[in-house]
Amino acid sequence: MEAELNGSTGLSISGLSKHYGSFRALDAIDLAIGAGEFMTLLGPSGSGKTTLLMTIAGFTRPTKGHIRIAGRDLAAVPPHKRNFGMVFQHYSLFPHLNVAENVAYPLRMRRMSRTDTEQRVAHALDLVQLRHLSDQRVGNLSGGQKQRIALARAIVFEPDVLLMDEPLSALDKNLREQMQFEIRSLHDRLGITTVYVTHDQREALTMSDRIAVINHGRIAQLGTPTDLYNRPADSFVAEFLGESTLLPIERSGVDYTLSGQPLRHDHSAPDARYLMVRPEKLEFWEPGLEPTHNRFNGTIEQKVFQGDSLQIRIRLASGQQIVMRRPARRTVLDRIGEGGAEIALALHSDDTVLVPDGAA
Amino acid sequence: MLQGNATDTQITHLQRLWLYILCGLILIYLVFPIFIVVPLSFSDSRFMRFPPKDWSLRWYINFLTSPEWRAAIWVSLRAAVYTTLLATPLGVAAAWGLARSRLPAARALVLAVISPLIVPVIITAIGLFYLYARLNLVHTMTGIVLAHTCLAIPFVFVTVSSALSHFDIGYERAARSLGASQLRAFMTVTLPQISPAVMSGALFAFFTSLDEVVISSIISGGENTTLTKKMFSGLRDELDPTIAAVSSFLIGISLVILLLAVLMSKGRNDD
Amino acid sequence: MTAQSDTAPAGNAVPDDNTRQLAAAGRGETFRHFALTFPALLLIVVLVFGPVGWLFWLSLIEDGQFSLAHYQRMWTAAYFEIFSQTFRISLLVTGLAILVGYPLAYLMSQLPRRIAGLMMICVLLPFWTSLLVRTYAWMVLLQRRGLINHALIGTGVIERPLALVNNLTGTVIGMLHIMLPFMILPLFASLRTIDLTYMRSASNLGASPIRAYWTVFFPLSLPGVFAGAILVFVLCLGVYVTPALLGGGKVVMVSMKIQQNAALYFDWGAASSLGVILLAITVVLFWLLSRLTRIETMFGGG
Repeated sequence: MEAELNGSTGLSISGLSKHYGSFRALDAIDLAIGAGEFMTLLGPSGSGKTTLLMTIAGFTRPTKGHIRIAGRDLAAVPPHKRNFGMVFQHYSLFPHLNVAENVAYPLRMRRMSRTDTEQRVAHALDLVQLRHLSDQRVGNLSGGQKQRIALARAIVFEPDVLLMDEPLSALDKNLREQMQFEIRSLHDRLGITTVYVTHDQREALTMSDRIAVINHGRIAQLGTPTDLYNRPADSFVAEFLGESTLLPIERSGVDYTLSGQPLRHDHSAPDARYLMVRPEKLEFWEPGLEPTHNRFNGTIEQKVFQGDSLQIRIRLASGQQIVMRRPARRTVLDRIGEGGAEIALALHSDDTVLVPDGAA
Repeated sequence: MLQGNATDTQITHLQRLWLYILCGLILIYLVFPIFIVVPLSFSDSRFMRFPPKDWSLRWYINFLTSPEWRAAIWVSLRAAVYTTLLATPLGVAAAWGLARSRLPAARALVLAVISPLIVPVIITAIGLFYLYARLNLVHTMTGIVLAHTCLAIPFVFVTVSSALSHFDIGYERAARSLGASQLRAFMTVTLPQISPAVMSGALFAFFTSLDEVVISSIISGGENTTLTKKMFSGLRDELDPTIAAVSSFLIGISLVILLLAVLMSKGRNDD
Repeated sequence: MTAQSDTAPAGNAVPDDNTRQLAAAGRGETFRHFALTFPALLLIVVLVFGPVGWLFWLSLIEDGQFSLAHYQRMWTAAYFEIFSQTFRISLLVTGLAILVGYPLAYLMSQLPRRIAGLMMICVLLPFWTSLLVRTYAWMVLLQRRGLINHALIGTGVIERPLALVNNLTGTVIGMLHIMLPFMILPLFASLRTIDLTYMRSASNLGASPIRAYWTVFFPLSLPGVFAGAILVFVLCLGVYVTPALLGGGKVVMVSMKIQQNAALYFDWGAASSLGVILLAITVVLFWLLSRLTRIETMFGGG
C-alpha cells in the first residue's frame, strides 16, 4: 500500500530529541506519517522505539522537537487531551470494571450520554467479535480476548491516531499470527493512522505499510517492507530484518571486489563495506548465467533439514562462510551433494546488495 | 500423628513438641493479660482483688454517668475521627505525589513525612507544648487534632506508599490515554484498587489518635481532656477501679478494629 | 542523521528550538506533584520540625547567651546513671524480645497460612489494644494480691508474695509485652521469605534437621533479627508510659527525666539538651536500621 501524505490526520515529527543527561534516547528524529498509514517502529530493545511512542503519546516529555497533527503542535497538550487510542503490552484493562465498563471508560471521560455510550460500546465490541463478553469480569478472560477488548477500548472514541506498544509480545505464536491479521483488518476497516511498535521483524514485515527501523535513538532506515528487505541501507538493517550473510568487500577504484573477484551489481553504493546475501536468493550455477549473475565457488560444509526448507552452509574459496536456503523439493534434494562436495553458486546482480557499516 | 514429619527436613512433631508448648505459652502471655481486665471491671470491690468476690456493674455505672469520663470519651472519639479525616487525604496525597514525583529531593521528602515516627514522642510533646502555649492552642480540640494528625500521617503514608509501589503504573497511563487527567485517573482507576490500603491506613490513623498518651497528656486538658490523659493520671495517682470499666470499653473498640483489620486483609487476599 | 529511502522530512525547513518551553512545562509538572505532598509536609514541619528545632536552639542558650553548659551538666553521675539504666533496660528488653519473639515468629512462618493467621490474630490483638489498658492489666496481674502471686502461693511454689511491680521487674515484663509485636511482625515477614529449598538441599547433603536449621536457616534469618532488634531497641530508648506506671518511681528512663525537667522543674535547658541527645541517638539507630533493611532485601532474595 502506498502512503498517502495528504496531511489531514497524518502525524508529523520533526527534530524530536530526548536526552537523559548525556544519553540520547532519541536523536533528532524526523518522521512523517501519512493519514491512515500503518507505520511500524521496529528495533531491538533499548533502541528508542518505545521512547518515541511514549513521546508521541505524551507520557514522555521530549527535550526538544515538535509533534504536529493537522498542523497543531502537541508540545503543550497533555496525554489525556491528545485523543490518541493506545494499546499496551500488558493490556492494562481495569480489573475493577467489567468488559463493557472498560470499553465505556473513554466515553465516560468525554461525558457522553448513556444511550450513546451503550451504542458505541456495543459497536466496538462487535468489531472485535466479543459482544457476548460484555458483562464478564476482566480477570476471567484469555490473553487474546483481553487484547481485543483493549483494542475495542482504544478505538471506541474514534481517535485520530492508534498507538500500539508491542501488543502481541505476551501472546503465544499461533495467537500472535492470528491477531496480526485481525489488527491489520481492523486498521483497514477503520482507516485509522496507526503507529505500531515491535521488535519482531516478521511482524513488522507482515503488517506494515512502512517501517521505520530505529537504532540508538535514530532512524536507520525508513521505507516499505520490500524496500527494507531487498535494499537495506546498512549492515544493521540487513541483519535485523531477515536472515543474511555479510561478507566484507574491498574497494578497487570505483568498483568493489570480494576477495579479489569483481562484483556485478546494479545499484550504486558509496561507502559500501559488505556484500549482503539473503540465503534464499542464492541459486545453483548454470552455464549461461555469466552476463547477469555473480559466481561463487565453494564446498558444502553442512546441510540442515528444517522441514520446509534446506539450509546449506558453504565454505567459499576465499575462506568465508555463506548460508544458502533452498526449498526442500525433490529436485533440490537430488541435486545437492554431500558434505565436502564442491558447489557453484549464482547470485543475480539485482540481489547483489552492497551495504555500508551500520555499527549495530 | 506426633510421629509425623513436621518439615521437609524430617523432624517430627514429637521432637518439636517443646517448641509448640513454648509458643503456646508465649501466645498466652500476649493475649491473657488483656482479658484479665474484663472480669475485674465487674467486681464489686474497691480493691483489685482477683478473682473478684462479688460482682456488680457499679464501675460501669460510674464510668457512664460521670460527666468527666463521658466528656473524655467524647473528646477522644471526636479527636480520633477528625484526625482520621484529616490525616488520610493528606497522607494519600503525599504518598501518591511522591510516588509519581521525579524530584531528586523525593527521598529526603519521604524521610520528612516519616519523621514523626522517628522523633521520640516526649520530645515532640514538650516542643509542641511550648509552641501551643504561644499560639493559644493548649487544651483545644484543634491543637489535639493537629498534633495527632502529625503522628497519624506517617502511618497512612507508609501503608499507601507500599500499595502504590505494587501498583502497575500502566493502569494510570491507560486511563490517561483514554481521556482522564492525572487526577481523574487516580480517582477512577488507582484509588479503587488501593482502597484496602487506604482503609487500613485510616484505621491506623484512628487508633493512633485514640491511643495517644504522651502528647495528649501534655497538651490536652480542661474541657478538652482526652480519655488517655484521664486514664493516665488515674493510673498514676490512684487506682480507681472505674478504669477497669473504661479499659473493657476500650478493649471492645480494639476488638472491633482488629475484626475490621482482619476482614480487610482477607478481602485483599481474595482479589 | 537519519538515513531514508523515502520522502524528505515534513515540518519547518528550519526547526525551531523549543527546549526551553519543554523544560519549563516539565518543571510545572514536577511542581504539581510536589504540591500534593505540601499540606502533609507543612503540618509536619510546623508541628514537629519547628518545635524540635526550637528545642535544639534552646539547649544551646543559657541566660540569653550561646553556651554548652546544659550539655556539660549532662556529664554528671546522675545523668550517666539515667542513661546507663535506660540502655540496660532497653538491651534487656530487646534481648528478651529476641528470645521470646523468635520461636513464635519461626513457628508462624513455617505453619500453613490458616493456622499462622490465627496465631497472627493473637499477636495483633495486643498491638491494637490501648497501651494504657495493657499496662493497667500488668499492674493488676503483678501486684502483691494479684493473680500471679495468688497462683504461685496457691500452688505452693512460694510462701510470700513476690514484688513483681513498681520496680524493674514489672517494668521489664510490661515493656516486653508492648515490644513483642514490633519484633514478631517484621521478623515473621522476613522469615517467610527464606526459601525452604535451602533446607531441603541441606537435608539432601546429609545434615540432620537440627544441624540444617543452625547452619542454613539461622544465618539467613539473622538480618531479620537484627532489623527487629534495632527497631525494638530504639522504641525502648524513647518509651515513657510503661516505666512511668510500672516502675514505681524506682525506674527512671531518659524520656521520663525529660518530662520531669520540663514539667516539674521548668528547666527547659536540661530538658532540651537531654532531648537532643536522645534524638541524636535515635536518628543514628534509625539510619543504621535503614542501611540494614536495604542490605536485608539484597540477601533475602526476596
